[in-house]
Amino acid sequence: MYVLLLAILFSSFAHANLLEHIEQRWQGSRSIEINPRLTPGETIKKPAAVHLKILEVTIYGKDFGLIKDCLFYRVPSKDKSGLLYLHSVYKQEDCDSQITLPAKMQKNEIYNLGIENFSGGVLLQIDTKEIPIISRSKTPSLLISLVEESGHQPYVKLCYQVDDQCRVVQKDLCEFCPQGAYPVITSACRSAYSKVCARETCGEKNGFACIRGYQATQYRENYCVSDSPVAYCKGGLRVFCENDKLICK
Amino acid sequence: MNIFTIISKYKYLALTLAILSLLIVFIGRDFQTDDKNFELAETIEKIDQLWSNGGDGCSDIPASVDFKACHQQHLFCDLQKLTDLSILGYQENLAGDLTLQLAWERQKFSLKLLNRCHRALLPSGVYSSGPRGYAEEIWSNENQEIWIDRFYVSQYKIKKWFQAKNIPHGKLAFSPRPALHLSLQKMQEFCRDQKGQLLQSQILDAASFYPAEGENSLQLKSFYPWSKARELKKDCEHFIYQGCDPVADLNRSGVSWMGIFHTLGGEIEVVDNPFQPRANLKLSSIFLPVDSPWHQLGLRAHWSGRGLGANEFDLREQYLGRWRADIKISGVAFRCMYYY
Repeated sequence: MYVLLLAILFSSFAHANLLEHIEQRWQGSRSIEINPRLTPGETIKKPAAVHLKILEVTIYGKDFGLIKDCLFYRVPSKDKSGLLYLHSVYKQEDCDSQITLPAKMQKNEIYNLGIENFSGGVLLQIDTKEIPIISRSKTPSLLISLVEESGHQPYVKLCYQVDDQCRVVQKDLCEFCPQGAYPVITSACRSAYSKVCARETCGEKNGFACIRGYQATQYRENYCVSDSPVAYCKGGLRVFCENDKLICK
Repeated sequence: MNIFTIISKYKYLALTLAILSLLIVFIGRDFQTDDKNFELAETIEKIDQLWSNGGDGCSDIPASVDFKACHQQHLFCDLQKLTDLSILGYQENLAGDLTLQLAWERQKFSLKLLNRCHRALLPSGVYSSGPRGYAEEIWSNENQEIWIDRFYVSQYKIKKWFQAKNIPHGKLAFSPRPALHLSLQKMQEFCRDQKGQLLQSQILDAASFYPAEGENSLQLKSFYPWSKARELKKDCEHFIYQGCDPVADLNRSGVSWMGIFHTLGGEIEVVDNPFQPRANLKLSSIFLPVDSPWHQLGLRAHWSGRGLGANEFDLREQYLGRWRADIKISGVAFRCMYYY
């Protein structure tokens, strides 16, 4: 009898914890990624009893370093209800390393979990509750941190990189460049340029070439040639293509 | 009868009451949380607005709306008017970004306000560097975000930067007047610390020439920023030339089609010219009379960047070679550009 009362009390607090935790923490998140294997709009019912990564939500730490929150789900099966749990990553690690590990923040007794996209973010549907998660990527001049923990301050020289098919090879971390970044050509992609953390300007010796542009030159051939018309250098230096990158020598 | 006996007697009633009260508590908490989250979001939006647009300006420093919009003394004053918000701490980095630690109804959070003050975005297009009659360097900025400072860098900003970097700066005042006495190297260093770089010549050209379409528009560039017509508007509101009041506190003359100021007239300004490195000095300024041929877009002289001695300047026009100025230069202004 008393055990039942205590169990109800305990489960109600556990319930409040995870959902309240993420609802507050994820306001103004930097980015949200849904596991591409999930189908938005559908309740997640299979594969039964399997652990899946649902979302990766990147938020800002107290010092405006990055924290990755990884939301996982053990899909319900015949004998067990679903379990939602959260791991946070504070260094340069992947969410995938945390899957199936026991978590402090979790919610069990879940029977229906779904995700919907909407403009500005993602809607998480947990049984009868809906949690909208909004990212502030559209207002990049204001960053919010709602947590007390510090995050990771990444520094990647080529802070944004696209490949020949314009797929993102390096997600944009240029905000962590201490002296800004500028666009450079490192692939055949014509609708996006990579970016490099700046110490010098473009066009200097042994640095990246400046971009003249495809529209201006109407150039349609292979970009990766010496004296490539889509780029230029300063003061008598020539454009060369080394390791797919347009540089000046 | 003690409490355990009572509960045993009425156990089903007690259970129902317990469940009901728990439901009320956590549904109630849900609503409370929703409301609180909504109000917090609203408060954050208000702060964003104040930072981007400047508040009512409740300080007593007599400065323009433009100046107030970017400086945090005024922001703090306005923030204090927001109810339930307390400022626990703040820091400013070299780039002028402001980090605030705040508490709102006992909830602590931090905001980082990125210094995006006074920048205009260069629209995507194909541009031609150099003055009218010169069309050797065509370039385009598709897929690039290029932001340009609308005003010159002020002494105020430079003094704060010197302080942050522990560089002696005795002579500088906290003035909104343009900073005119830096070396080219220091200017570039300042712009780098703002996460940008010194404004480039072809970017200034792109931002200044009146946009034109059709054939030959890249050769037949406009003379002046305000229209395609060859009509010099001889009044100090359109551009600042000899005899006008000097550039003070972010004034707005010489405006171009995309919203940057002093594209004509104002101060003598240095730029970085990757196509023609010697062509790096805009002479159209308050130091030249209204009918000087230098009051035309795209013309450039040369500055070594090292000091203000007469032999550091070559005042022959570097693109067309048609004119030579005869003035003594006492200061060179600059501004920055950014790729984010």
